[in-house]
Amino acid sequence: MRFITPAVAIAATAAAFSFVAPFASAQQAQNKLRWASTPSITAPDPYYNFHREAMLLNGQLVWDTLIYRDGETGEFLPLLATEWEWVDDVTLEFRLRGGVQFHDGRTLSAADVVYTYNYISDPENQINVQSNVNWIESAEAIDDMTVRLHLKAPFPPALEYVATLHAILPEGFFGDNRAADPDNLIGTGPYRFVEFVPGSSMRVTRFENYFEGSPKGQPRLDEIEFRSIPDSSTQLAELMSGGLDWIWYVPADQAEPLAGRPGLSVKPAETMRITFLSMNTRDMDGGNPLQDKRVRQAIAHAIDRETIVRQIVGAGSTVVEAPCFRTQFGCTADVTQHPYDPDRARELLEEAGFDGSITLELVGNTSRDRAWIESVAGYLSQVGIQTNVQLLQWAALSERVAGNGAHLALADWGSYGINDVSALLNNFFTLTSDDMARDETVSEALLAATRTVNQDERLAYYDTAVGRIAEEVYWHPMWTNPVTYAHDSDLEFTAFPDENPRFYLVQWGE
Amino acid sequence: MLAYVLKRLGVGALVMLTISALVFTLTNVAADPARTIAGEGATAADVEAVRLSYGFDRPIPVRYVEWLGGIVQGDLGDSYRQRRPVSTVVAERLPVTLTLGFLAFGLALATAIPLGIIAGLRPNSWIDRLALLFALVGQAMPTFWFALLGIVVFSVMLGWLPASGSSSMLHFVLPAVVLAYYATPTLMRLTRAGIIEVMQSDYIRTARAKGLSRSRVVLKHALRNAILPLVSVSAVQMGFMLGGSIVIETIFAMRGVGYLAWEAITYSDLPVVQAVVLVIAAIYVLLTLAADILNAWLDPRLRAR
Repeated sequence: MRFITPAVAIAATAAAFSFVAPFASAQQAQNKLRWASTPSITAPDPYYNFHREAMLLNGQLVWDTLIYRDGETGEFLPLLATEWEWVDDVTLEFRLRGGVQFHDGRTLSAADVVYTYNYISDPENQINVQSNVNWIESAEAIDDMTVRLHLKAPFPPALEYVATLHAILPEGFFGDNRAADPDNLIGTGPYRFVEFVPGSSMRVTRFENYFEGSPKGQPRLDEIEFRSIPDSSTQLAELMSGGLDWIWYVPADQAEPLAGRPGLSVKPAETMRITFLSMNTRDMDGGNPLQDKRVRQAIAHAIDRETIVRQIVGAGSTVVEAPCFRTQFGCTADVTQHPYDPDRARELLEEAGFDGSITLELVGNTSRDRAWIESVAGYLSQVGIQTNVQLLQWAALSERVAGNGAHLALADWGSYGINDVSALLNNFFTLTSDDMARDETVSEALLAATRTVNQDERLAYYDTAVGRIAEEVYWHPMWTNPVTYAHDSDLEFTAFPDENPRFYLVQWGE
Repeated sequence: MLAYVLKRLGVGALVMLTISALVFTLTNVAADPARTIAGEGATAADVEAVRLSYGFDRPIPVRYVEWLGGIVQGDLGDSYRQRRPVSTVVAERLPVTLTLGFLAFGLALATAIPLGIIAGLRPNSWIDRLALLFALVGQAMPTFWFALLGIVVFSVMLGWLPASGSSSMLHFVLPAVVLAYYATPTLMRLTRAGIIEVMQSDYIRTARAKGLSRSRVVLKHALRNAILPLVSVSAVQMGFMLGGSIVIETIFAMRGVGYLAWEAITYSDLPVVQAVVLVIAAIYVLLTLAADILNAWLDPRLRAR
């Protein structure tokens, strides 16, 4: 039985009394969107940030990238650049769109693009997520409207990053002290900065001179306001009392009572973030039963993922068959499967010489639902595998994995919305401290796939890597993490699997 | 009296030094700060880059001495997340916390003292029972639960008060009431117990025998002795309200020091965590000192000890 949390009680109580406070749509009349999320944003720019809220959401409202990836088709479309091509394996050339204005009226030129790329790729400048840029050697202006991006080595998913994470800043944006001038937060995007309160809120308004022909379209709203509200119950209360129009990551148990409330839309949606059970095959003090492949297979066969997804993870989630998200380049579905079969699990354990006396350390992330890891532990105990479950903050969890202190880790990864397997598997299987399997064949295949831009060769390498991870059961892929969005039902909002709510596409209904 | 104050100040300085060593060590060993700073999406290489750039590869004692040297010169360091001086970050947040703390404390005293006096003057009466029930509920109910109930009733159902934020005085009403209700029971019960005890003493009987009015006896003679323990406890409660309102500030998304502490702990912004702990510790030390001095002034016997 699951406990009724205070938040559930509140959502249920408030839903029951929904007639008391009719849902207000004053924001609709003002054409304004107010949304909230848990993290507090302490820097307004998209680079000195760890949070999706700043990097992706506000980042793409105020700034534009060179190219645009269509959320539905995955196709690259022109944004600040109208044409682009691979000159060779390590050089990308972009032809810029003419007449694009920054919010202060200046016109975009190659100098701005070169400044941005040379700034973010310089390790001295210490932008937060180095892996997003550490494959860039430099940028060079060929003429006033043409830019070349030089890569350190072939990096096939380069365009994914260019389209998603590399917002183009005006030249000199960060000044000499590596900090953006709060009074000069200028971009080319459909919205311009009005106000930023560190750790609390951010407000942007429509940019009237946004260039024609952008796939983002002309700004549909007059104003968008972000607020940081750490407690999900408070976010819920604000949404129900008309203080907010849109929230996300609504916990599954709160979403249910909320769904019946008139004036609100509650939508669970699938994301690219996959949860996996990572198995440690390294030598451990006192021996490691997981070095026997049959034990790893037994663990995989012991877990009924379908039931966990249906009963616990909830709507929007599906069982993952391969150790990657299905739309990612290189994610082959044709891999060894380990369906739920507890009898087979017991047989395998017996064959491996274990008679129900295995005790394993199982770690998970505190920011995920506790029931997820408990259900996994429950299924394992049914085939005779006992687990010591520990939920840890991400840093501690990561440290435990790197320090060889856990047999099993229930973790997840969102690939930053990058639609390429390298954004997922290269972080966990290339013999770094996060690699629990340390399989040289897998590592070599993954690294080789990033050294060529030949798509067929890359697919062959990923076939090897993904196939071997599944065959050797280094990971048991579990499910896709759902995100539940809740918003005013008059708001026209579409969810995409890359956890990137494209607010520039949002508008109020008639 | 001066010697007494100086002695207390010395003890306070030692307490602060001990706390600084503890907080610096604990924050650095609790979890690898490089991994927390690098964030959930960081690769092993990102983590190593952070470790080197922030100097986490150097021994903790070396970093502690450097940090302490900075503090002595008034430099609390820079926030890892905000890349601004910690002193600026904390100073920005103090007004919200101080406003909330003083409002809640004032409200708690304004409720607890009259209620304690009334209950103490009529022990075991219906009004005493009612006051004790009020105290019992306040002590038993978790702060976060009361806060969420308040939000449901006054924000969601009635729409009278905002559910979160700190941009106007209206935003302080709910959090102040919740915080005050947490402190009221202790203060009320202490006042009640003090009044009951003092009202049975000889000098009160003498005062009554002299024909003084009941209100004069209570307010002039009884209350001064009855509130002696209240002064010490008030200092602790005040410290809690100024430093310990993390839960309240987080639930109501108020940009105070408590919320800052929550953010800093979540993201391993160690210089901010350390500064917030030091500020809270300093508040406690100063309040305890103030309570000691006030008690010594109220009761000259304490000075002689």
